[in-house]
Amino acid sequence: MNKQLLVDCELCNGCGLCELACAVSKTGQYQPFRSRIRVWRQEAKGMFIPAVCVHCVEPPCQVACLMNVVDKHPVTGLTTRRVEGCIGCRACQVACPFDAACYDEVDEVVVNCDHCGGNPECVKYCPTGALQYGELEVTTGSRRRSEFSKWLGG
Amino acid sequence: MLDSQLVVVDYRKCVGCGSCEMICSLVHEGICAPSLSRIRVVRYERLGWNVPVTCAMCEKPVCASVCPVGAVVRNRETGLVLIEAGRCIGCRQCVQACPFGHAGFNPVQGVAFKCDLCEGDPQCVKFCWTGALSFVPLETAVGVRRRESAQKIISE
Amino acid sequence: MGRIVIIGNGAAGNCAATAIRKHRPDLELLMISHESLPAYSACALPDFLAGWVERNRLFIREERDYARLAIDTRFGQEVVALDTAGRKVVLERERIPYDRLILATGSRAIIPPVEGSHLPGNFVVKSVLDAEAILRHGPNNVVVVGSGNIGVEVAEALQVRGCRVTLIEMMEHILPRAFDAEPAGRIAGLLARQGIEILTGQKVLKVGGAEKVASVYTEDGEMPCDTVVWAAGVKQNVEIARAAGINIGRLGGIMVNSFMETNIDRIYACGDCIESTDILTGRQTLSLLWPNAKRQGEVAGLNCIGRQVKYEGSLNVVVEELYGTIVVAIGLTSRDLAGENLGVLEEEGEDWYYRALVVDDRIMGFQSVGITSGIGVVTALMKKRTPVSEIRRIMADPVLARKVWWWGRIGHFGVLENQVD
Repeated sequence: MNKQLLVDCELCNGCGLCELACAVSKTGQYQPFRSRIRVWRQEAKGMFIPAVCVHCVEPPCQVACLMNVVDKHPVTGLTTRRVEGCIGCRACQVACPFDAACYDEVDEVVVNCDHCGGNPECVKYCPTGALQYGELEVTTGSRRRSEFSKWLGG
Repeated sequence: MLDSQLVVVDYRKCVGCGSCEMICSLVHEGICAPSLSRIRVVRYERLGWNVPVTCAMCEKPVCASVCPVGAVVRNRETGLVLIEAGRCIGCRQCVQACPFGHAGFNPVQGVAFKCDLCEGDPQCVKFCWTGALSFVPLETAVGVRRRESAQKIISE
Repeated sequence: MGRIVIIGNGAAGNCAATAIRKHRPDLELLMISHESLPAYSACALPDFLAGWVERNRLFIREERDYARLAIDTRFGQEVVALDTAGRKVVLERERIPYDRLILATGSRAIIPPVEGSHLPGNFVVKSVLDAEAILRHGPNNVVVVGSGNIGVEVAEALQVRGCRVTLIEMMEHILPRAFDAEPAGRIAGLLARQGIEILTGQKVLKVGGAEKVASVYTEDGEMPCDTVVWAAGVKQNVEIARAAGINIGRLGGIMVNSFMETNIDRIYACGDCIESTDILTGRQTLSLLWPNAKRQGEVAGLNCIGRQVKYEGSLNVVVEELYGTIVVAIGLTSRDLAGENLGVLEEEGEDWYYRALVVDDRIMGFQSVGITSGIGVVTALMKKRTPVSEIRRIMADPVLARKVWWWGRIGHFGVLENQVD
């Protein structure tokens, strides 16, 4: 897996279009609470944090799962959940540091981001560019470049 | 850590040859692959600048804060910020958080990596033939620079 | 490397097998278990009792999965002894040589030796067979003894099935190992509202009845019932290990180092049967929780094939859904921390409550009722042993807070984020 869903919290304005786009594409319903990306809003501080699965190589949620339904896809490297085996115990939610294991209250299972098969809906609808889908190396490379071009005045 | 040695970069001397990247990836990963190197050279070809980027060994490292499992740790005595590969869960947050774009990710091993100063003998410095990289206490490097600028003043 | 033998088919044993297989598809693996069923999740047994989860969904492996992973099995067979000198596991009918041995023998539920505890109608909930036996028995009027997480879940499950349920706890409040009195009181309220009778500070003195269970005697008197479910604790299965000369700790579990090695060369141990180090206190503990067992199994498996991995330590995490309300306990309780300079930060709302136990600027315990999001962040920060002052420093800085983005969700818990004067 080379491409990542990259989140830049500094650009997020909390509009929630990503949540809607995700919920619609995954469940067919305009219900942000069924989305796999969730924006945590602290309006007084103007801080908006979209939380989405980062697909750890050794996910803590996999260790925590009581039913062993969390797996790593051998080819794509994505973290997958066999939802038919999930009993909705929430143990993985408590184990995920990123709060990115989302409980679907309708189906009573925990779900996570699957990168929409390589074309994430949330990124398409993000109006601010806070969500990007790209290679990590490219973004860190551009970070390096911009950081030092500041110094060079170029 | 004032007295501890750091890889100090003199941008004016770097020619962007990438020897540091080659030797770094070779000693750490066994292959010459710049993408697996801890030190990376940013090349501004039009401007004629080459900037080697390595770990600044921050006093309050963001990579350590953002690590969810405490795999990135700053040693208080040595001042080194190191990744404990056995603990790393491969979430790549340190790579995204580093303000310099220093930390990297090895997709084959599934772990993040960063400069470890080669246990006190940085190979990038050894193989830098232009003198752009030096391994000295920060105080020494700053002293040299101070002296250089003073030299300019008195020579005018 | 020769054959690796794993004794035990639970969370730890299976994780060890998976970890070994992931890196070494060539090694010979053999698994011995006294149960004849494939691996199942014991944590889902209360859900099975309630009827929310069907029997086939309990299983996390099928018979054919063992064949697919090339794991040789000896299910339904007891280990008689370990021959550590000759490196053999002695079963009733065969002796199996091993090159490396992983003990994941687990624990068993205990029934205290009170009068009448042998009568039909006394149950534990440890295996699928136990749960099925309860369902076959057809309980109507149930006494659940012990209010650990299993006790509470079983009480809920049987109440949902339509039984009259009484929960008896020896300590002064329910869930004593995981929660403080205040949140435990709220949880007791959740249960009581649904009609579960809760008796705390009481001990079962005797089970009455001639041929089957008819009543339970406590200090307060006799209580009629037809079923007693004992959830009063477990005991480590260490007998064969002890007989083989493996060191057993003071708490009754097998002693291992952080690489899951026992004192005998080439023998590893993991899961419920060992004593591990608590990640927060550094003291020995019996963790008895599924995620810890899984991680220990993984560590044992990896070390046994020569990949050095250190176990980080156990963290107690209890997550329960009781009548739709999530209750969570992480780390230690006030009782565990008695004698320390303990600060309790708490906050409550209409239908939620949480408290964080802070010692020396570090979160040592966290308990919540009715909160679902943001807890993962607290768990991670507790494991990292991040000082509360550091959390506040980062959260007060808008630039840093966005960089260290996932910490932001600590904002769910205002008292941790904001300076209280």
